[in-house]
Amino acid sequence: MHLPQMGYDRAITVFSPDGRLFQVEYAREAVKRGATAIGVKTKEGVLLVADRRVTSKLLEPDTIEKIFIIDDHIGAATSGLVADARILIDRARLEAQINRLTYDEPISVKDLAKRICDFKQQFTQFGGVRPFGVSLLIAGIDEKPRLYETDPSGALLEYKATAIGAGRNVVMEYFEKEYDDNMSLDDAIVKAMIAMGKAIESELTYDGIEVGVIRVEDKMFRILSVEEVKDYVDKANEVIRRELGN
Amino acid sequence: MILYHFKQQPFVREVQEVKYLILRPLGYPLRASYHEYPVVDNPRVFERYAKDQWKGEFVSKGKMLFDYRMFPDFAFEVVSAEPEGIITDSTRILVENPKSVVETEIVKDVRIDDVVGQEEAKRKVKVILKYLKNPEKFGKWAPKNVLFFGPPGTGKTMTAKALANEANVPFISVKSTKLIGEHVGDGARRIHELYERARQVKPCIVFLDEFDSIALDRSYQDLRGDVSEVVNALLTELDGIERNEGICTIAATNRIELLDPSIRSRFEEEIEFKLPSLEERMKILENNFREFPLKVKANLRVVAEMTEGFSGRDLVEKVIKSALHRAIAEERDSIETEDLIKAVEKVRKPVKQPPKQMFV
Amino acid sequence: MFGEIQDKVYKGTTTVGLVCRDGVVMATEKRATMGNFIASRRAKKIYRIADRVAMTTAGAVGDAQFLARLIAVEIKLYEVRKEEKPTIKAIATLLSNILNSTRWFPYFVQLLVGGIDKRGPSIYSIDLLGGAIEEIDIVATGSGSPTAYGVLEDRYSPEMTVDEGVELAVRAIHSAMRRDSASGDGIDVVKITEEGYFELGREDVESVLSKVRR
Repeated sequence: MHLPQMGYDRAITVFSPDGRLFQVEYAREAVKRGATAIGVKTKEGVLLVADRRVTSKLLEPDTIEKIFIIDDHIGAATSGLVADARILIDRARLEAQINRLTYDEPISVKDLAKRICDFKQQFTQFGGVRPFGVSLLIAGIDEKPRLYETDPSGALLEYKATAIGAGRNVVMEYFEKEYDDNMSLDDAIVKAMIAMGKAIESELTYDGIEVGVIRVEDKMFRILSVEEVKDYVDKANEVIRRELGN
Repeated sequence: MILYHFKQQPFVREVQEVKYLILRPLGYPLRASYHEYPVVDNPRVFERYAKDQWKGEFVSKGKMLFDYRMFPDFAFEVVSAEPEGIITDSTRILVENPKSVVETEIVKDVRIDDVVGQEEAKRKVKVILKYLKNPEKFGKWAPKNVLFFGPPGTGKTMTAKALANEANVPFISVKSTKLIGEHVGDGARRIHELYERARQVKPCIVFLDEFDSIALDRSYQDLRGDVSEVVNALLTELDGIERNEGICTIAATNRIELLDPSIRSRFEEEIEFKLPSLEERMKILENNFREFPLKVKANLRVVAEMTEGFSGRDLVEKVIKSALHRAIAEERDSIETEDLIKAVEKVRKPVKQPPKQMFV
Repeated sequence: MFGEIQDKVYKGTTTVGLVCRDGVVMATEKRATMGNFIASRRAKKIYRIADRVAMTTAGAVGDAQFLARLIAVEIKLYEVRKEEKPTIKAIATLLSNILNSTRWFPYFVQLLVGGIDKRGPSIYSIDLLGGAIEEIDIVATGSGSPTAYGVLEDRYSPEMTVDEGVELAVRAIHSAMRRDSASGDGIDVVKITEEGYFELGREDVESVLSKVRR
């Protein structure tokens, strides 16, 4: 019983009369099906926190990849279709190295984010293709800390704190209240984890959360080990436990 | 005190007035070729006619009432008398039309508290309850048309029935699929018939199940020309402000996105029924095991945890019932966790969600 | 045409590589020539292309620089994509593929790629058509290589440490600089061990040289 609504949602290259691109909007729904990923920027650096709980005991936890190193100074978190995410991540890595090859300079975070958006945009304007069902959080440091979000339309926005995936609204609501320009990176990690706890409505586990950090001192993006994550998770869980109790 | 009670009760068995009486034409005791088969022409006139001859009669379910005047010895069966008692001037008498698709029911067994979760719906139900008890007070601000939507088995019908029960009003229902008849014009006629019945017994609840089958979006209606006629009839009825005082229409659908926007706009509120959460599933299981034919030795939390995505109906029909039947078949006097788990595993939930591993 | 250019490019450089017990040593002199003209007296002929990998170049400067950039970027990509470091062999093979794919319009270079990977120290020499050969002990390229080889063959031992290797490499380059007109103007030395990649400063090279000079 599925009939076309005048077919405006069939081809992405066709605007509906009120100026919408339905396929692109549907692609954003795919992003919402992804697990939550949070990005927060502080003066000390930028961090990404992602929910990577496994759904089956049989699944190897490492196989769930949410945070990726793009270049020494840039990392990215994804939400949405896994397969699309991989393509975009590889594209980002390639763009970063093309910049090094072309200019012998590390790519600026904004440039990289733009390249990704340009790439995504092509899939919203030409026939025979489908948009990427993925949003990316791109975190890095060039002159100063940067945090960008790209969506399936190719829109590019820089945030102080943001989130993609299922828990976006909950997290954004939390940071609307809790964001502080002067918080330390460590505090920000704990806050991001508290927001994550609220988003997934449960306490966090050590291996159910992935954290990527880049600090101004060394400008090297690093994914933290389970050991390094423990303290933050414990701190966050204290708060989450209290809040969920209510 | 106690003595007083003992003494009083056998004597003071008050004979109540019947508030709603539903009859079904049964026929003559004998058949002859010249007998005409009478049909109720005007329900209001019939009500008056019926009271004239049966006033004071004690009626209970299953009892037969015979016509004395126009068609002597033609029998009607009492489908339901609510409450049992004697027919008085204020009794509402309804006759079922065997050909009609409209069903009138006096709900007795469901209560709002039986519905687990669905807080938003319950809040609205409270308002409607107040309205049905005192329609005049609301005037033009009356709650009239409410749309329930959500996955099957989440308690849409149950809530509507519970509302009718708590408000002590008749529950007039029709499966929307039946509104579309063989001939063009049937649909519209049946809608009017439905509301005719509602006006006769108001205050009442009109319940339209499987609503998407008639209230399709107009872009889909091209396929079924007769559907648009039903839609138009429905629009007229849903709009009838003055005439429909005391009538609350509740429509239910699994697929709200298919509904015609013009019809959707007639509903003052769209209430979503959600699949039960873990805690709600716990509660549904507990409620159902409270009165249970067998002893229950089961860890309900385990069952609740593994039934994510199950509706309340799934839990009752597919899990509890089949586990019970299994235990009975094996001549056991108790039901255990294992029975429930086996039942859950047998239920292959149709995959509505795309596979999780596609997303990160 | 090939022959002509090839002859030219090979004329002017000396590079050496030594596989030692605990790492590798790579060294070059710093003269860039255009025929008899000395175009530069501080040419960079040794590139760090990865964390523990160096590449020395002989041949056309532009080709060498481009290849150094390209391979450095390819290694980076390899690392982020595979989440591990490429082996020296993998790097040499990739370079070999790149060079061979342009064999009809080649990059005029002679390369040494050396460093430490999970299998230990190793050095590969790669020619302009992509011929990649693993050098198990010593290697020298460029116009000064015959002189350098003489020194290396005489003094090399597989039991050498990198610090002994540094001295030998300096000695070999020093000899080549004395006898090859296209080599000269100072020495760049790199040693790579498990501890890291060390580029020797001018003073360090000078102090080694003082031991070597007669």
